[in-house]
Amino acid sequence: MIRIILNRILISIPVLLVITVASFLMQQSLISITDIKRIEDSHQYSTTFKKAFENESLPLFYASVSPSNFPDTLYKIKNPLTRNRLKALLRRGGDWKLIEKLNQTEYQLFQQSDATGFNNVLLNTTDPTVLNQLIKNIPDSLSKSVIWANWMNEWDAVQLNLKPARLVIPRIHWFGSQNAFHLWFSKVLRFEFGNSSVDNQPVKDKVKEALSWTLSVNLFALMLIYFFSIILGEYIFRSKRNIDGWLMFFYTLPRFFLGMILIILFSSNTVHPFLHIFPTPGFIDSMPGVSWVTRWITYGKYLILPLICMVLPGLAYVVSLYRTRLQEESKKPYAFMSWVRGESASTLLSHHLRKNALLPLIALLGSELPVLISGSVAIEVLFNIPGMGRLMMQSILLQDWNTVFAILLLTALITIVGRLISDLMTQMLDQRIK
Amino acid sequence: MSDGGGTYPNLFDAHPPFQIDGNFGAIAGMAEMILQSHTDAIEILPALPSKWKDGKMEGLKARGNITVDVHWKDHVLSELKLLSKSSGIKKIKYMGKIKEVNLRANQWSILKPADF
Repeated sequence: MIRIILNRILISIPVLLVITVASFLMQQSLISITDIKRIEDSHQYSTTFKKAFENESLPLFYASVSPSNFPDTLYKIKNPLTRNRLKALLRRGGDWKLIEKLNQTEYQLFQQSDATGFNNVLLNTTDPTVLNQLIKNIPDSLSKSVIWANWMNEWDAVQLNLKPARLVIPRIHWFGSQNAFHLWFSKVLRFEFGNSSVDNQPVKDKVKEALSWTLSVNLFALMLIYFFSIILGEYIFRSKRNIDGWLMFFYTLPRFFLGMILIILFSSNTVHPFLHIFPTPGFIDSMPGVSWVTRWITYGKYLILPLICMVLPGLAYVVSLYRTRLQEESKKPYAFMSWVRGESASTLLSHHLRKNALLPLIALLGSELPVLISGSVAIEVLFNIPGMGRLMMQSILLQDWNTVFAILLLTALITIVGRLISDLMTQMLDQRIK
Repeated sequence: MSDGGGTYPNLFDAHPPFQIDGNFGAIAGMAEMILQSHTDAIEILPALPSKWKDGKMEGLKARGNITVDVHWKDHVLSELKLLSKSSGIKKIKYMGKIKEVNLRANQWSILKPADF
């Protein structure tokens, strides 16, 4: 048993690692895209820029593979525009020593006051081909100055020294533990995801509050699904009714569509005032820290419709699975033997069929939890529940990447843990797998 | 019997040293002439041989743990006794007619040919 647990945990470690690395890279690229946009759009250049590029003075990862002419300190150039221009030259096979010299001259150039505005044109151009065209049109007043002459010479030197062959030879740089991923990951392991860029609250607190709602609602929905599935599945099995059509209907019904129908029917006067049973969806959890029982009693009436939305499609699926499993089991020799021994149908069901038919349902438990959580995004947005789904949606729209990736990682973790639990439960219950 | 064929008085076959088809298969075949319960109905005397004019078979088990005693005279059922370990309705089939019998646990139910 311990061997199996260890085995499963060992398998899930590389999966988690891949997810972490992928989300880190996505987060980095998203932050730089967002912030380049912000640099272009807003005048809050300096503050946003500094915040976003806190880690930029560090290399991205433990090691990097680049062509031999690329320096290992390129990440230290903080201005993305300058960096992109230098990269464009390097990608053509330029020599780094010459390019570095050119960059220093450019820096001096930008320090100067410039009446023609040509410096800005130069600053914003990253493509060397376009730059070559521009140089031809340099105003005379500029080309006579010493720095410009220097720059022109160095530019020509770089252009003459382009050797694409340098790109073919790879070089591996090793940066050690002082890199952005290492720092980020060690924070993630301590569940520190930084502050939200929307309200500057710690992401940890925001997610914790949202997670408690989502988990409690989803676990309750899961319990309801399984409770009613067993009752309904056995009823259908014994009465031999065919309600496959209905099951299929509810299974394929999109949850948000069902939600909208329910809202229109039961929480508004649109159809009939008599049907206005439930309050208008949406509440704000105004008593964080109060016990869960009190909160559920207070907000329970807001959760009935969303729970119906979550339970119905899942219920239809689990019921049809359980019914099919019962039918399969009832055709097996042991069920025949039970009939031969003169046992009643209810004894057969409760003593033999139920145990065996429930096994795949328990295996399903692990995969049903992440489905519910991802499915609850639509439901939480629709019914305005302050859970993870709504937080994720809001954070994506507001480009609050710290929160988005914290939720992403947590969801991955929940999925893996759910799988692990269902695996272990199947192991414990099914003697044959042992 | 002398040359190793036929059956002993207890209906085991006389082929040496041991013939499982002969020992069990032949008797199972004979039992199925008197009583069958492959479907949900218990069928009485489905294929009574013409040479067995009068006779009885006692203690035979039908599927569903039901003990069945069958007595017949002139190729016709004279008495049928059923003992079940659990209560419930059972279907009894005789001469193509089906009768539903309410059996009580551990109590003998006696049926006459007039009941069919």
